[in-house]
Amino acid sequence: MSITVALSKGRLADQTVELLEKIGINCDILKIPSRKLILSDPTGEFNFIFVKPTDVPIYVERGAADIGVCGKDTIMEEDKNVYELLDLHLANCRLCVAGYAGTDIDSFDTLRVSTKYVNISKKYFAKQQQNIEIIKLSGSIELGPVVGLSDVILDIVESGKTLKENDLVVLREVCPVSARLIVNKVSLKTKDDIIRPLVKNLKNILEEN
Amino acid sequence: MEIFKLPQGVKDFLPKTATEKVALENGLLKTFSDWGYERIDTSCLVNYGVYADGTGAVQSPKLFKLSDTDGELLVLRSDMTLPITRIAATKLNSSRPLRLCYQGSSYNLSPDRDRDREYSQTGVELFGVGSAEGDAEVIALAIDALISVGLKDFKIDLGQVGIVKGVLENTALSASDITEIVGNIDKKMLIFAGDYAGLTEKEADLINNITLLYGDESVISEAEKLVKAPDAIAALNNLRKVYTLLTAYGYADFLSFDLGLVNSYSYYTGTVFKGITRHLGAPVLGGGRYDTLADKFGKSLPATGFAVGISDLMRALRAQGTVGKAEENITLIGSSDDIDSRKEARRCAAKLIKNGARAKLVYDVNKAELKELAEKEGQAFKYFGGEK
Repeated sequence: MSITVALSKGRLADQTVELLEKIGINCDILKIPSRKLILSDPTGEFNFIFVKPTDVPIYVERGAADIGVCGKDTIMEEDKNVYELLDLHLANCRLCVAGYAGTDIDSFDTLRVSTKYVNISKKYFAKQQQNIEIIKLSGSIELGPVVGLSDVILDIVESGKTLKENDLVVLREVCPVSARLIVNKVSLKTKDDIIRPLVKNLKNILEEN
Repeated sequence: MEIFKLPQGVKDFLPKTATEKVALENGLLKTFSDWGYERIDTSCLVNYGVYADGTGAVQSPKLFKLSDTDGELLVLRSDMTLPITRIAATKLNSSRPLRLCYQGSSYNLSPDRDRDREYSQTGVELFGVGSAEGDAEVIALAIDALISVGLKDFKIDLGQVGIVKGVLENTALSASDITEIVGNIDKKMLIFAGDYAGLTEKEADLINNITLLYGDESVISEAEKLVKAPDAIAALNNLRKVYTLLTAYGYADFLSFDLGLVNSYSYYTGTVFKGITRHLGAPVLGGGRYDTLADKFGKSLPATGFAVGISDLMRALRAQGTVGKAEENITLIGSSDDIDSRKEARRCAAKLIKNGARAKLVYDVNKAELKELAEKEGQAFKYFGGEK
């Protein structure tokens, strides 16, 4: 038996690989530059795929990957039917509403929000009883208020450096975000022999840290 | 061009897959019928009121709605259980157990591009047996039905929503916090006492422990050591009884357990289950006990049942390589275009069919062309009349 692990392309994948190595999974193959989209460890027990971070939940929900690692922001936005077993405490940051200092969110009849998190924005502002107009962007979100495209942005904030350089500030914190281990709801049971020890080992490592 | 495009979330079944689909549905229905489950059909159109309180498989905003000529709101059924429960509670009002089975499509106005909006389900409902014997009967039936259509390496994953319910309702949590916690349990996410008013550290630990109790039957014993709330203990006893019965019936090898199974928390009232196989990342069937659903039709009627998702089952069978293999034989029958030859051809076909074989008539071919066609399709042929 083997399982397929979906990793979020980019820095999170590197951090995840480090964590997997700590629990004794040989990830050497992942360090050789390659264009192959699917790679296996020497035991053949683990297949790895590298996908766009926002795609990790759908791979796992459909069972194309048995487990995956991605940010809580992606999990909330995609809202897929998967188990969210562990907080890996990697890639820690915050989901925030940001804009120019002194922006009074409550004073807008309709607040224009630029974001790539359409679903999170809808849910968050509905809870705040604020009417919004969503302007979906896929990058350079901070530009929204700067060029007058939107009043505020809803985005992840890590160091706050990008905000600062564009004269923006955090207006409200939506929630903290970190990387999570997600698991397909059927695989958890049918591939228990591999997944249960994996989760247990990860938990032990995380508790040690 | 719009006319060439299907609406979002629906599929065509071309002859090959349609044949597989019907064979699968009929295979399941045969097993249900063998065990005394009578076929029932309900209308796709349902008064909105039946689904308005959100007890159906789909939440109200995601129902397909239509308006009637008198302005009444109608919906396309989003499951079979609710319409059947209405009938069981009213038209079939009986003091004896009712065993019903069904096959049909239900609808969900999901905005997600990757979700089916029309889904075919084959299933059963058992009304009037409130004891563990009822649960064991439908679970055994689910196993028999899956075996009969050739599914291998599958398990029925069992839970009991009463365990979590009993624990949660024994705390000082608010209804909205309970809903949120149930959502977390469904995702097997751990909860923290500090996040909820009225939840002690000990209670949070207990809930987290139950959430992660999945595996073989030993999880029942584990839970028995942890759980103190009377309703939760009763639920555990019920699950143990269902397990004992199924073991006695010889089904122990097909069972696994997950005490954190809380899907459709407000709908189910007792033992719940899912059919899972390593060939598919989604369950092929789901069901459980829903003893309070008939209340809204003015009757107290214990009930349990399950539905097989036909496209999921087809995908699982395809993944294990056992569906679509059997090409059925058919004889191609041609003739020259004079009435006598046509008559001979028709008579020959009718005779074959009467004897249990299959035949189809082919027009506008001569003998050589028919031979070529039959060879291409890998079938036998017969030709009547003169060479043309």
